[in-house]
Parts: sequence; C-alpha cells; structure tokens
Amino acid sequence: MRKKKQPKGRNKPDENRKPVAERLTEVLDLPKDIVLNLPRLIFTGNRELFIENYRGIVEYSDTVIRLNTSECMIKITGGALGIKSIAAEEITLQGKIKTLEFI
Amino acid sequence: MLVWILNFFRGYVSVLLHGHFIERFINVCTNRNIYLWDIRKSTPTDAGMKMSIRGFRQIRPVARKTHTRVRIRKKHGFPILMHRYRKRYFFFAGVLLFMLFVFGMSQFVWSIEVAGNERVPTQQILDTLAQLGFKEGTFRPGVDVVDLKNNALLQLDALSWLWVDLRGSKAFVSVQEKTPPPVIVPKDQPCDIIAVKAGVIKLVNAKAGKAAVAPGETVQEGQLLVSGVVTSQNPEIPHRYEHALGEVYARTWYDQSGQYAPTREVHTFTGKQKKHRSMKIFGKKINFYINGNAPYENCDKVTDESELKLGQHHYLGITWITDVYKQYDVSHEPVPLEENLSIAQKALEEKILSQVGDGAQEVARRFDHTVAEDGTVNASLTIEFTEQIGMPKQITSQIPAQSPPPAKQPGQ
Repeated sequence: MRKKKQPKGRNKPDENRKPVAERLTEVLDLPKDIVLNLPRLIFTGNRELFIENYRGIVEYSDTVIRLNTSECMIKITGGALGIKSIAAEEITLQGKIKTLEFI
Repeated sequence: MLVWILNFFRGYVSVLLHGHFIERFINVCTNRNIYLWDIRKSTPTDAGMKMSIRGFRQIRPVARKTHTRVRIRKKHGFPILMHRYRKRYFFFAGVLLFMLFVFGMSQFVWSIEVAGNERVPTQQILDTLAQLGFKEGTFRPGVDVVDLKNNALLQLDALSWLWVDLRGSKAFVSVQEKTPPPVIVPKDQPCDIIAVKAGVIKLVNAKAGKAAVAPGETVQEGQLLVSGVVTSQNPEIPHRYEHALGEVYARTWYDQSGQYAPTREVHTFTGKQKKHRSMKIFGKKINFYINGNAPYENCDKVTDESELKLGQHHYLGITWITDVYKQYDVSHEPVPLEENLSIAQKALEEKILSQVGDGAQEVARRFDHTVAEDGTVNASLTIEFTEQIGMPKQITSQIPAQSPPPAKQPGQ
C-alpha cells in the first residue's frame, strides 16, 4: 500500500512565506514598485529625500514627518525639515534627515 | 532652474497658513491636483508654502473644509508684473520699438566680405556691386541675388564666377577669377617660335618649321628660334609659311643680390598702451577720441572690432572698435653671420623662383658673399636652370615672296 504523502505545514501560517504576487514578480523579474505599488525612495545624502508612490501626510512638523504608503508608514526625523515640493504621487523632503523608520 | 523659470512665467503666490490641520490641508490639495512647493512649518499651527495662481484660485473650499486660514504673503511671477505695470504704456511702446528696431536693422546689409580674389582688387568688386545698387545699408529683401550676380559678372570681365551669399545682415561675396588663356596662335595661322628670355640653347626640337638656332648658341630675348618661313634650296619653289611647332630648351641664369645688415630691430613692449575707442553706426564712424594720431613714436596698433549681432549672422549695423596702441622700445640685436647668410640665401632664392617659368629645372647654383667691415653681408646668388624658352608668335609681316625664277628666254 502506498503511503499518502502528508502535506507538510500547508495549513500552518509560515511567517517567512512571501505573498503570491511578490513571488510572481520575483519569478517574472518585474519591477516591484510598480506591480506591488510600493513606495520608491531616493536619498540625496541626508539633505533630500524623494518619495514616489506615497499616500498622504500623517504628521508634519520641522522635526518629524510621517507619511502613509500602501504598506506601511514612513517616519522621518531630523531638523529643519520641509517639503520642497508635493504632488499627488510624489513628494520631495528637504532638511537634515537623521532617521527613517518603516512602522 | 527650469522649473523655476516655468513657475515664474506662470506666476505663483507665497502664502501663510494658520490652522490645526495643515497636514490635512496639504493632503487635500494634493488630491485635488494643486501643486505645492517650499512648505515650511514655523510653528505647529503656522506654515508657509508656495502655489501657482491657478492653484490658489481653487483653494478656498479646501481651506474651509480643513479650517485653515490662508493669507497671501507675496505674489511672484510674470503675470503679476504685467498686471502691476499694465499702465506703463511707454514702457511697452519701448519694448515694441526695440524689437522693431532689432528686427528692422537686421533687414539691411551691413557688411560685405569679398573672398577668392587675388588679382582683382576687392575695392573694384565692391564698387561694381555698389553701382548695381548693392552696398552697405541696402535693404535685404530688395536684393535679387541672381540678377546681381549676372550684372556684376558682365561688368567684371576678369571674374568667371561670383556669388553673393546673404547670411543675416552680412553678405559674403565669393568670386572666382578667370585664368588668363595662354597665347595660342590658331593652327592655320603661320607663326614663329621666339625666345621668351635669354639663354644658351641646349636642345631644339622643331616639329614643324625650321630651326633657326643650334645647340650651344646664345640667344637674346625675342630672338627667332624656330622659323615658320620655310625656304627651299630650289629657287624655283617659293617659300612656305608654316605654323611652327616645337620646344626649345635652353640654359638660363638668374642673378639676385642684396645687402643684409648685421643687426636687426628688436621691439620690446614697454607695457604702456593707449586705447582709442570708436563706434561704427551704419557705416559711419564716430570717434570717442580727439587726437587721431598715434600717441607714441614707436608703437603697434591692434584693432579689435566687436559687432552687435543677433545670433550668429544678424549684424545690426553697430560696431564697437577699440584701437590699442602699444608702445615699444627699439633696440638692435646683432645677427650671427651664419644666420644672416641663410636668411640672405633664402630671400634671394625666393626672388629668383618667382621669376622662373613653370617646369624649369635647377642645374647648378652659386652663392657668394662678402662681409663688409661693419658686418653688412653683401650676398649674391646665381642659379642655372634648364627651361623651355620658346613661345609662338604670329607672323604678321609678310616677307616678300622669293623672286620668281628668271624666265627662260627662248633661243638662248
């Protein structure tokens, strides 16, 4: 009698397992920021930060800026922070950036 | 920078916001496609930012919704300036006048350059063109280049081709000179071959006609070399006129001599200089100096002309001229004998080569020099060439026909 293969951990939630869409983009070599709607961040030293694909400002002062994105929140701290320009899809921050956190 | 220029021309306002929900205000603005930039928060409830005029017009509902008070700090940009100065009629008239002036002045020909001529003087070409109504200050659209070219070529016989290229307000006249045709005696005309220059005959190659000289003979300029008149030994046959053909090679000598001073002038600039400025407006020169003479006894004059141009070729008829006179001291520097001799030889050789005809071959040369007490070099150079010296010359005077043979008298 053949032994039936036991499905291993199929119903167990795997913490390291990536979602299907992400695995698909990796297999097909597609740019993740477009397919998964992730933000794209470009630093210029610690002076400027360009963020594409954000979802709005949550908090804004000259020391802390919090932004919403599709997945998580981005928290930037520093000094003399300002918004150089802002449009529907992209934002450029300037100032002395100290930390950046994904919350 | 580019964005700045764009914003300037569109016009923008710098505003101050006061409220507790400035983040919300910004979010709503971005959702409504109102572009904001240079956002700065001074206090937790105050912020400054910039937005376009169009954006500012859409902001009222957003401000109401987010309970934000908006105050204009400053208006910037071109539309604001235009609005502010809209009553300055004479300013606008001036701008318009200036543009008309620049445009109008570039419609005239303000400078003519002639290129390609060697024998025909530039002034002659310019004069001819001026006679045909094309000179500095001519209205450009009224110029028919093809017509001008045809008429100018009719008047300037020495040119084979001419073209006036109008580039903006500059005219470039390119010409091609005719090569003078060699003296050709028509084949059916009788001719002699005579010597162009004196020499000793080396070789006579007469293809038609009769050689009048033999190798080794010395001939003078203009002497007959190959005769076109062929006489027969038989007195009964009258002589014939032929078109003499052939080449006559001769040894020719050329002498040149000259004196070469043992010192040469050396100019050392003293650093002193004076500038004379002047302006040329539509062909008329206006001087900004009183004494037009050179300010120093020994000086070089360097002229710099800068033309007021629109783009590369639209010369507007105004030239700014600076004449710089640089003073120098003259001192005499001895020239070493060796160098002086080589200078002498080179100069003399150049002089000789300018006299020699085409195809001459150098056979021998002699360079002599004596040095005078004060060091002056007296040099002479002799070069011997072998060259063709024959040149056809039409027979104009008819030699009286050979006397007819005496009639045989019957009964003798």
